[in-house]
Amino acid sequence: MVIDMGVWDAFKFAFNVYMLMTTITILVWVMIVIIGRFTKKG
Amino acid sequence: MEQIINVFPGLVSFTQMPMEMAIARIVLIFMGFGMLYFGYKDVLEPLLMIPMGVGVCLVNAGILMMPDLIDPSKQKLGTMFLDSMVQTSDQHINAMQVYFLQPIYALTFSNGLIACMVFLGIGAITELDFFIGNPKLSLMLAIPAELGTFLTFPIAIWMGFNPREAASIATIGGADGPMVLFASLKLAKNLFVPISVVSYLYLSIVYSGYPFLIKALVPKRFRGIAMKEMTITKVSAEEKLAFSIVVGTVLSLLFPVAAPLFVSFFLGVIIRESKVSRYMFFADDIILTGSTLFLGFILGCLLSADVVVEPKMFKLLILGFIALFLSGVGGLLGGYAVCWLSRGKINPLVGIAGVSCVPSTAKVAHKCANEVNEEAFILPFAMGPNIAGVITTAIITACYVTKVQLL
Repeated sequence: MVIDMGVWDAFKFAFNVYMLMTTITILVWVMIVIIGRFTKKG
Repeated sequence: MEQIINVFPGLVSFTQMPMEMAIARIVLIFMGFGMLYFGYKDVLEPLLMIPMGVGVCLVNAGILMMPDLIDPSKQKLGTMFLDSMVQTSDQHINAMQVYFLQPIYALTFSNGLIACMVFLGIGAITELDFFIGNPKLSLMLAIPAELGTFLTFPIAIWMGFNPREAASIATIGGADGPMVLFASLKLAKNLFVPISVVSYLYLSIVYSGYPFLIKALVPKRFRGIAMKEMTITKVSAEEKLAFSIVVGTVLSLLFPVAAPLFVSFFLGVIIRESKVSRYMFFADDIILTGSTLFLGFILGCLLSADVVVEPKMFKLLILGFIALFLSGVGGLLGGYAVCWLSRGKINPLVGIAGVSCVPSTAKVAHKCANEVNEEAFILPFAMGPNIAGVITTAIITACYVTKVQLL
């Protein structure tokens, strides 16, 4: 099924996706910091 | 004379197609030569351009009238390479008896396996030290470098594409070929061929195109920052292994639809860090080399005249350019931000390396810095955002694929 979407709605949708990506990227950073605490340094 | 011409069906086929298609065919044959030549001369990425150029040249030369597999009572213009229009399993089985590339296309392209194999190979050659050693800087630079992936979506909607097609096109901004392939296969199978071809064409031009953008937006005094005060933290294999398995598991848990890509990439990293030499040889020398060769060659074979004369192709060319241009601009803006935050210690060019195209954008950043200041050796610092860019592109692609399917 093809859904119609206005340009403003599309911008809001893409912004949501971008914010979700940013949040998960920050989560990845937090995971790296936590893993770094529990593993030996190189 | 007519009898002599009829001996050569490839020549006759020019008279059996519309004029614009015949012209496009000739242009594409020359374009194939150009791709091969510039790949050979190292102006464009040779690993992709050489097989792709050969494919474009030969597929557009070898067109003949043959039975249509979808409707056997009809005849159509086609090649002996492959038919991307077959859909049912019966048609696939019949096509495999006729077209020599059909088995590879049907079993590795239409299910996204080729993208996963390339990703496995990329994982196996990825050095994570620069990224894990300085994750904050790397990820901070990778986020703005997704600007093209974000803004191309509404632009594509404005140009008349539906959300599924727009999301697939937007992923070109991530500058990661396997991701574009994966997203278009999941969301817009009807546009998979032109989107993938446009994406790989532009990605091969990144190496020669981004230096112009850099020179236009970054003054010489910033380009020459040597980053001598920065150091790279050494990271243990144990930490890289733990990172791969934990982050791979969490991302697969969040986005099961993109799990094949995450699994492939992190399996490649784990193979590298486990130092099992046989697997490393297999993943790098065999899987990555073989899949890159077939990826380039089959994409070239898919770039036939009928794809080029498709009305949406011109729009795709514009959108692909916009996506990569905006991502480059976003990356440089991120670079300026970290340069300012570090009080001029960080070269803003490392920002463009956040556009993931590994390792082309990192090499471009280094080359442009080195041209201005011979002491500027920024490649190791550029590799961090470069790898972070692969991860953010995988995340944003997974977000698009998951959220668009919910619309």
